[in-house]
Amino acid sequence: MARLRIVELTKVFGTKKVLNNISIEVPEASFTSILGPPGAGKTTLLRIIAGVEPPTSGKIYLDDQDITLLPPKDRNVAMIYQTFALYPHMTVFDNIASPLRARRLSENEIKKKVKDIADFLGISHLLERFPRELSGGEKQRVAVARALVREAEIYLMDEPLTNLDYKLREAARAELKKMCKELKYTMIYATPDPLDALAMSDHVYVLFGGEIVQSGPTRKVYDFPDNIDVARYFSFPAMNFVECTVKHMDDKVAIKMPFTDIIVQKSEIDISEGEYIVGIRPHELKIMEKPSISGVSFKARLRLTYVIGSESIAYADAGETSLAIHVPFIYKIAEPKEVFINLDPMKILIFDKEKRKRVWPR
Amino acid sequence: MVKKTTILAVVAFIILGIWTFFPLYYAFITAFKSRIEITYWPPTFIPKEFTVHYWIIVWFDRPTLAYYRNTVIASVLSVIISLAFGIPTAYTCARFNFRNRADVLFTILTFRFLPPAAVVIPLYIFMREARLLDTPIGLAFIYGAINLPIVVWVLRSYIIDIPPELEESYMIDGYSRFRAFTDITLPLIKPGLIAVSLLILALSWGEFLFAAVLTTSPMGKTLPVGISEYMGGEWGYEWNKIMAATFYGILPLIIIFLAIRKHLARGLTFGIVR
Repeated sequence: MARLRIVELTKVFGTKKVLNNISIEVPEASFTSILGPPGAGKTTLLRIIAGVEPPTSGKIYLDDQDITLLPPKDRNVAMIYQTFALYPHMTVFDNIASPLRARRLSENEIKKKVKDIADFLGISHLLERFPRELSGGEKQRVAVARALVREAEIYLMDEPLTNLDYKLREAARAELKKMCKELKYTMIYATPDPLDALAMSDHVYVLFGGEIVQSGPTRKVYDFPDNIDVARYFSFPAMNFVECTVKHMDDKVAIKMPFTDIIVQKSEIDISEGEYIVGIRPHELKIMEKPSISGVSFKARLRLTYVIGSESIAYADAGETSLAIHVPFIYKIAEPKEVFINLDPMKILIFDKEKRKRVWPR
Repeated sequence: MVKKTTILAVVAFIILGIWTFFPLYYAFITAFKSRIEITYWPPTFIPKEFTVHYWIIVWFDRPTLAYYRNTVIASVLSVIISLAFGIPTAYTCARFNFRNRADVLFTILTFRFLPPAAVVIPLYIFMREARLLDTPIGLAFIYGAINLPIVVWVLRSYIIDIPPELEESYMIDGYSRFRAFTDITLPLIKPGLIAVSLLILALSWGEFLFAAVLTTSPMGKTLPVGISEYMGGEWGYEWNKIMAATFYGILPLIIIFLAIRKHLARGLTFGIVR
């Protein structure tokens, strides 16, 4: 296991800067996610760490060794591709044995190691088959087995769950998290899915257009997004954004939104006057029959609800503004109706309208 | 009830079948006819005086065995030469992004546009200086070179179809790029290798112009050139011998094609649909 440090890494393809001045630090035995939309440069970053793509500038250190120019075979880094990249002309056994054969282990040792990892992942019965005879979930397990069968310093995963169906993804998330914890592996996980990052990772780097826009412990990045883009991307369900005007009145601050005003003490929310954008998470909104005494209540017309498993998402119009509301139970309406929506002013995020940066909470 | 389209398909196949096989059939039976019967009008479609004489005589009245040997050496060697140069070129053009890659590929293709007659004289002089005139090895080099564009273009498309992740993954497993190429890419483009090898073999096997100009002695000629000598010689056009020798000539190709036709069909369609 090792610690990975990337310093000011840049990658240019032709005239396009795919990665711009990336610095990352991955502690030993931790799970780090690289979160970003498709095309953000996640795969390129992993390929550079693996050594199959040279960086244009910048350095990569494994512990304190500079590995920037080492060929992939000398790095001892394992990688799982989104497409799994199983060798189609080799059996599952030979696929998993491939990194061991590269290390010139004896056939007996290889047999034992492949058997152990296959047992661990529950794919022992597949060893004689070819990749084309496997289902998506089985392929994913074989790809994981091929990566884990050797003791690599770092395990890179490029969206390994994207090609799996919903149920398998849930199970695989739990499994990967467990493996990282139990085996004390250092993992870097690239994903476009905020749920993957939330469910598994200790640290997250948010990558937009080849630049890291925010990084830190996963929960902290989720709770306190630095700007509107991160807030929009790294939220589930997607956050509501409402334009507002802030006015000072004596020792109070009034946040005027189109459908309601939030008035709080200056000691509670301390921002200067001006134009802002308020971010409200769908699970911070509550649907009420009557206005509540605590927090801020406002009238809205409930337009549509849909149920996802045992929870629901509701859409309501407060004046001209449409809001998404997360309901933690099954909630259905027959036809649109008038309701009250309650909001805790302490749970809102406020962003600067011009710079799009978070100004509250500080 | 049989569908209209099915009937149409059957009719089309019958017409195509006659179109393809009738000339072959007529050539085949001509080899069994006597010298007189060949000149009959209307022609006979089943030999009246059936004889195997010409099937035997073609082996003895000319050095047909030497023609055979030369053809085999020239065409097999040309396959080896064109693959030896074509595979690395195809791989480089498929996998590496270098300046003017499209131009390089197009230039390689233009060698194929060249009318052979335009280069046959310079090549004659070149071969004479290299002391390769009248040898199947000399022909093999020329066939290898003129067929190189086919190898490069066909194999490049096969290699492009192999996801680069497979090689990358293999390198991350701990192998060199060369091993990734030999262990992963080569086995996966096998259908393409078979298809293109057969194509080159068939093209070299039947090549006439270069063989006719670059070989002079009777022992140095290839089958197509040797067979052509039955035309307009002292006995006029000896069609029965020509046909018999031609059949001997194409027999090995027919056997090879039949033996690996399964691979060939896969090779020709592979890469069209992923």
